[in-house]
Amino acid sequence: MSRDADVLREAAGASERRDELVRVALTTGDELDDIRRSKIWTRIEDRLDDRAPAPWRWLLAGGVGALAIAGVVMLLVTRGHGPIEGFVAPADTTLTMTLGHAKAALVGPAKLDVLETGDQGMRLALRHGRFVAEFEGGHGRTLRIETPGATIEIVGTLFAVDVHPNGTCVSVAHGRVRMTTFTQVMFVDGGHEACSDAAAPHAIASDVRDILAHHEATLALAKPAPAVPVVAAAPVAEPVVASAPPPTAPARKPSRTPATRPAPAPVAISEAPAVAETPALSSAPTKLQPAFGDAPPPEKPTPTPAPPTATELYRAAEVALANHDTATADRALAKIVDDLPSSSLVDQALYERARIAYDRHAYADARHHLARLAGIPTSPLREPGAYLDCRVAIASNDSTADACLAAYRATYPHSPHDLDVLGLLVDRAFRAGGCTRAAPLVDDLTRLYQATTLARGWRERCP
Amino acid sequence: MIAALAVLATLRATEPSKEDDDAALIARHRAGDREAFATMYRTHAAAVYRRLSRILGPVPERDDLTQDVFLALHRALPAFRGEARLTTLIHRIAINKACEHLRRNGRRPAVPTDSAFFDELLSLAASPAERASWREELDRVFACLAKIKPKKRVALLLRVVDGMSFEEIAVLVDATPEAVAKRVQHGQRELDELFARASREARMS
Repeated sequence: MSRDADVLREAAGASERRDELVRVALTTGDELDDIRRSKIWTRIEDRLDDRAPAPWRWLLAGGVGALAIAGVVMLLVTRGHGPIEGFVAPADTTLTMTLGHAKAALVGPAKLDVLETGDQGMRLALRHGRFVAEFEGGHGRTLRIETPGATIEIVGTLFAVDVHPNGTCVSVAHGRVRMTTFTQVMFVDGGHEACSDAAAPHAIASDVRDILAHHEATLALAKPAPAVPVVAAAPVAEPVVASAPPPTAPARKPSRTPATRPAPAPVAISEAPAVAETPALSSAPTKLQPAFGDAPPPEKPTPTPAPPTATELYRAAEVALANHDTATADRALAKIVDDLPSSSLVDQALYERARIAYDRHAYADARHHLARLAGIPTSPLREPGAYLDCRVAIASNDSTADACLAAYRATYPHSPHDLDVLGLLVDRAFRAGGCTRAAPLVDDLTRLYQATTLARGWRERCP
Repeated sequence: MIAALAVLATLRATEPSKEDDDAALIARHRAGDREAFATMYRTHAAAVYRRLSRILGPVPERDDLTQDVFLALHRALPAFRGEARLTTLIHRIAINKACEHLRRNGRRPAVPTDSAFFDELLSLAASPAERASWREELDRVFACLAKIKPKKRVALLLRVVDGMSFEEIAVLVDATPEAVAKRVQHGQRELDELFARASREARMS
């Protein structure tokens, strides 16, 4: 009997522990912060504008569409748009190349177009097949690869992109890559891969890891010429070296399973005739560096690195904040505010700076940033900024704190901070004049938030 | 004061009981006042995000799903006749979106427990070994939850994580309290079995 009771107690204990574990796992990180809330709203607002057009608008839309098509045709005819350079790797062939700051291999059958080049980075379009590259990052330098179902942005890493009938997969050996699909944005870290038809990144497959390792080793052995940024005025692309795998290399078959990649082919680097496709429509010539180890690099001075963009600075600040390095984060945010005042990230930077200042009790600094934020009339962060301003007033024992809280409630009657603000007002009134003074506010609290612990607690204290 | 602030900080904002305000907001929205919908978002976004998190865990798709919930709300409002509270309508939409997401994902656990979300929690561990053990347990939680069917999972989590009654859950998932009770019971049993099996496998490996 006693043993049965012990077993039952143990089972009940295990069940409670399991429930507690589930609670902890699912309530971790469930708070929506102000910045994220604003970002989501911005995206919603954009979509709310995508309303079905009224019937008369169809005619207008048709006319505009026809004009747009005509414009595109004109642009193509006049060579204004379209790839600067194109590469086709036939089956069982691997093209190796240096594209600006990327040392790359195109594993056939594959097709790659160079859409844009510049000091800031390069834009490529992988139409199909596999593209493996090591991209050397730097200030303001990015590589963007567009595929039929995704856009991949690389700041600096060794990675592979696969385009197959089911979608696009990106595998990252080290560094970090951002993948944007029609439905989501995914960050893919080293050792992971993400596919456009999968919900989240997963661990990289061993065969792909081998390919990346092989590519990295090949690059190291080849001792490539130092990467030189693409110079827009340079002559048209020089041919790249094509290499083919041994004849026994298995052909790749596209996968039918969603969220999986095609069976890989080993990246074999052996000499073969060049198969670079150089389109006739090349109006903005660019210089593509010869394959590594093949020819000496042209002696061009490396240009001064471009200053970081606001997005890069903000990303750096986010990383620093995640590492609790608020000083570095604040410096990066200050650069956005001071050096890039027209950036759309200025309000976020000001808000974050105010929060950092508030956390280190630098209330004058916090107020300074919040005053600047309040001066941006279109910012969705004015509301959380106003709330933070009141918290600063309270923390610094400012006599205007009550007025600040009351003004906040009047300006933003439906804010998500309303309960907090009302709770603060009740508490302050109670401390100043007991229940007599707090009574009207407690009534408000009970009326608006009767189900909350806070309202019940104050009602008990001031019945 | 500090104590009061600390209490406030730990309190989670619950959904306001403002039926009158909701009706007025919906009326303003129908009249074409764009600020009305923005107000609905401001008021309910945090709760929607929390609801999604408590069903799905800290998955990266929560932002997109929150957006989808409000776009669906925007589409639903013209036909909404006030048969339920606005909060209830919004949470029903959120739960439907979460279920759709779970169905799309199949039985794959999509929660990256190596993400920064768990850093703070895991930093409480006394040693690296304990931290590793906690991480394993979290992995196990999400792996087991992923194997439970969406409807059962939702009912179970609303009960276990939010402590809701069967009646409250029934309103949100559009089912009878009896059906909800069955789902919770079955979900708990499945979770127990899955946990036991996962623990056995972990011990053997």
